[in-house]
Amino acid sequence: MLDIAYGSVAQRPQVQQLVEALRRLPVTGTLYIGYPVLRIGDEQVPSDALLTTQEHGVVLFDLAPLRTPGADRTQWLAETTERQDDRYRALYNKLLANRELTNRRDLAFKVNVVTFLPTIDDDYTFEATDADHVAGYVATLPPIGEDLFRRLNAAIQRTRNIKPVRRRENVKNENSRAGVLKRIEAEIANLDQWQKAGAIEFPNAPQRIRGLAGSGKTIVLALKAAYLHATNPDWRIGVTFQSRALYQQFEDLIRRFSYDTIDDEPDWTKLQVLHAWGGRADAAVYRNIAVSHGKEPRDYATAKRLWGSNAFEGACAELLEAITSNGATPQTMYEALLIDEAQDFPISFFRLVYAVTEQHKRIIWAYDELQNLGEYAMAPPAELFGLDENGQPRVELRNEENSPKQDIVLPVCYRNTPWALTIAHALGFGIYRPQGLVQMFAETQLWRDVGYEVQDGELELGHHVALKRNTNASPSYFAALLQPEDAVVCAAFNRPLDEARWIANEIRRGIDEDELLPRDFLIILPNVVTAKSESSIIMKALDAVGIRSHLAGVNSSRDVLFMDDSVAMTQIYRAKGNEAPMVFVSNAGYCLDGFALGRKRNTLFTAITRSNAWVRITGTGEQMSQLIAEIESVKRHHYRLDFGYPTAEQIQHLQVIHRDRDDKELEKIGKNLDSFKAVLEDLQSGNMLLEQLPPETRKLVDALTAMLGKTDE
Amino acid sequence: MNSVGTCKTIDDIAMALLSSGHAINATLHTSVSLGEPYYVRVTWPNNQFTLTDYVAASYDEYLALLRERQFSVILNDGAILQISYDFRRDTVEAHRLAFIPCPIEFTQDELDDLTIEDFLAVLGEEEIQSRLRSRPYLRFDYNRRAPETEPFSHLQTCYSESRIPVCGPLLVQQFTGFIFKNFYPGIARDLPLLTALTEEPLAHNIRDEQRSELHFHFHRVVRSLQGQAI
Repeated sequence: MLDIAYGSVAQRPQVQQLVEALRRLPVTGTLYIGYPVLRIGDEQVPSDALLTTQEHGVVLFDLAPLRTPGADRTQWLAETTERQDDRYRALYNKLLANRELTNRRDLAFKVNVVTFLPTIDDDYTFEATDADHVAGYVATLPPIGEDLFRRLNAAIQRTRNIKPVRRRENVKNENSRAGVLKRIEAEIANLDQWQKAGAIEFPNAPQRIRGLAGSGKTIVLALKAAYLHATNPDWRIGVTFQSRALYQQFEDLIRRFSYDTIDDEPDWTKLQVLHAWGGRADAAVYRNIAVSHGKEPRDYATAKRLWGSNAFEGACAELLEAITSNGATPQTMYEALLIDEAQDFPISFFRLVYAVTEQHKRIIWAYDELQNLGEYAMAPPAELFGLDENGQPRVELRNEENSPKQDIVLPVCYRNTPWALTIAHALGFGIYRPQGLVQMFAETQLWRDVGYEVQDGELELGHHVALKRNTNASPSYFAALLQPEDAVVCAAFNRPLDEARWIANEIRRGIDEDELLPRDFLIILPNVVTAKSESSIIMKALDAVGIRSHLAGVNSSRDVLFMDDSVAMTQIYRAKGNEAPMVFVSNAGYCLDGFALGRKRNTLFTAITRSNAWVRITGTGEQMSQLIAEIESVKRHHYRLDFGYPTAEQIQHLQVIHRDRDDKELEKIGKNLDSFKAVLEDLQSGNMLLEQLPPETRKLVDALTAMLGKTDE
Repeated sequence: MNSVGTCKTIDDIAMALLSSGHAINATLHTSVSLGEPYYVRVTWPNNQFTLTDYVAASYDEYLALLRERQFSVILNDGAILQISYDFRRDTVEAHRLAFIPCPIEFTQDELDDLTIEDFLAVLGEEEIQSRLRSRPYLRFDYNRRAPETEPFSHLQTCYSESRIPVCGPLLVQQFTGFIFKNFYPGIARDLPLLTALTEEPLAHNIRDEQRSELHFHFHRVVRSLQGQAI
């Protein structure tokens, strides 16, 4: 099948002709429109189109109009030939830099260049074709080998520079866990169709990129930022996020992709990596907008005093009001803005950046629906950006055929095994929770988008449905190299010390018997309040078996999470965006029940999905029995999610009862529960009689009794 | 006093502070060879002494210590404790015992899910000014082979040239006892481990000329966990 990735020149009519002519070719490969960017002289020029297929190698298309009537034919032929030669040299040199594509001093394959004209009406001194003949032309070209094709794709898509593959020189046994990892790491080379679309597709309008954890959203955004900057060097482009730890990651990725694309450092004055809020010394989106409009930006402490846990929301809303009130027109500050971790941003931030982005509103936001760890739910575009003066949504996302997509879902999860991901979804939503669901996607289609297929029932609100991960939604190497029983293991203990010792022994065994390294492990502590005391117990248990460990993400987000000779422990906020081959989720029972259950279950989902291969979920206390039971239910159902899809009202109700609560609310609830408990104890002990309760209170007791009766039923 | 026992004492203190909720972070210590037989340093992992010279006592230096994990313990108010001993067999050759307060006042409750550095970074200019605290660092250094112009054991504070004589090398709990009793009396009461002296303090080692000047002095008394002299 031929994938088509529409880049920045997609609007040209000839593009559609070329696409239609090639679309039905029986080939495996990609037709890139407006990609890659070639250096010709001092200019960066996006290629008009590049076709890479295993069946017919590499074809670079030069989309050109016919010679203007009256124009000098000889000159036109010479100019077109020169243009072809320039593009050939540019692509040839670009590819020649990749040693794995060479045969001694030359490329191991031919680069074919052809000018695509509206029609063939002459004898040409260069290779030329049109819509009627291009398929025939391509069919004459010889194939290239599968391995070479794979390497070619990696070079074209720049994925070889995403992460240097760890050498794992200590691996002696290819069947040890480290040996398996080595093979998995070597497999992750090519972007898939959806990541290509995400990175290259450019609709010149808002674009949403959704995907599972581990589907490569950050990489896609970084590639896209580098690509937009290369093709539009004068644009003011911002890349923004909430986790400060992403600064370095984005700068590194964009720099690497930029060197690959334009052989140069990006112009950081034009392409800015910015925290969303920023501190005193940071350039940041909110801060920059405030200062540009002559407004004093709110600092964190002041905003918190004014708006509590909605500090950023309040600050953005206030600034938006200030720069748009009384009919004021905000300044245009960005030609394009890319937002990662969009689920962590309040609506007021989206509306604020909408106000200061150029008229095409090239706002690209990427998120994982279930990673929302804060107060902000991921609203649909109409809610995010609001309505215009005619009451119509300012932003509507459309995916039209033969056009760059505005709404992209990355359904393949490269990081997690399908078994861990299914269990993570089951626990996150409470699919097999005895007390019922905790939360649910309001859009049923999202399940398909994130890689599930319907096995039974109907994927509709209010209907029963059984879902299972589509085999295409996970790379094949998981099934080939790993076992489901080993992918997720859950264990309960009587005491935290026993839990810590088990974790320590598992890590010791992983290092001694499975050739793993300390940096291959990550221990996640979901309960922020007890994380420190838990970490000290685990640290000592690891020390007792000769393993060093460290608590990361509390001093500075710039400290390194993973160290070669030490096992990392962290709370969930620092774990976000990171991954490790073997993840331990300690004190997991905390996430099972209680208030703010939506957030707790999200935390469990996020923790499990940090794992590249193996997950160990541990804890103490009664909740662990329920946790084990929920996981076993998934396994008993053969990794199917079998449940009654709630109605829209029920979904809303779930959002209310399992919502986050602020400290004041929790304190009030705590006090009320204490009083309630005291009354019950008095009733139980005979210190108070039911008849002695005031009538209004007695009615409430009767209502409670009725409620309990219904629950028993 | 030996390297193994000292390492255990430091670890017990570090973990006690962490598990009791008085510390934001803490680390277990390690013994590192100093290149000669029986010559080891008990210290926090990846100790980079050049970074811990803390010459200018500046805000940037404080942040560098956080980023590079140059600490034994970070207390809830951001103060850093650094505890490191050099042993040749069972003899203390040197020690570095530092207390580095955070120059900006904050409480752990204010951090939410932010790291210390990130929290400090998001404070506005006025906020930072109002939270600035002029609290000098204290560093008790000991060097058995100190040059004649320097005390063997001294306190460095306020200025990098300062060498206030101390009558001898300190045990871990003499240092922690001094810090917590004077600056965190509540924590000292919570954790008697910080102030108990379960072994006899080390022999005094002070030059005659320094003994007659203003200096720090302690009696060599063993104190139980209940604080009684034994």
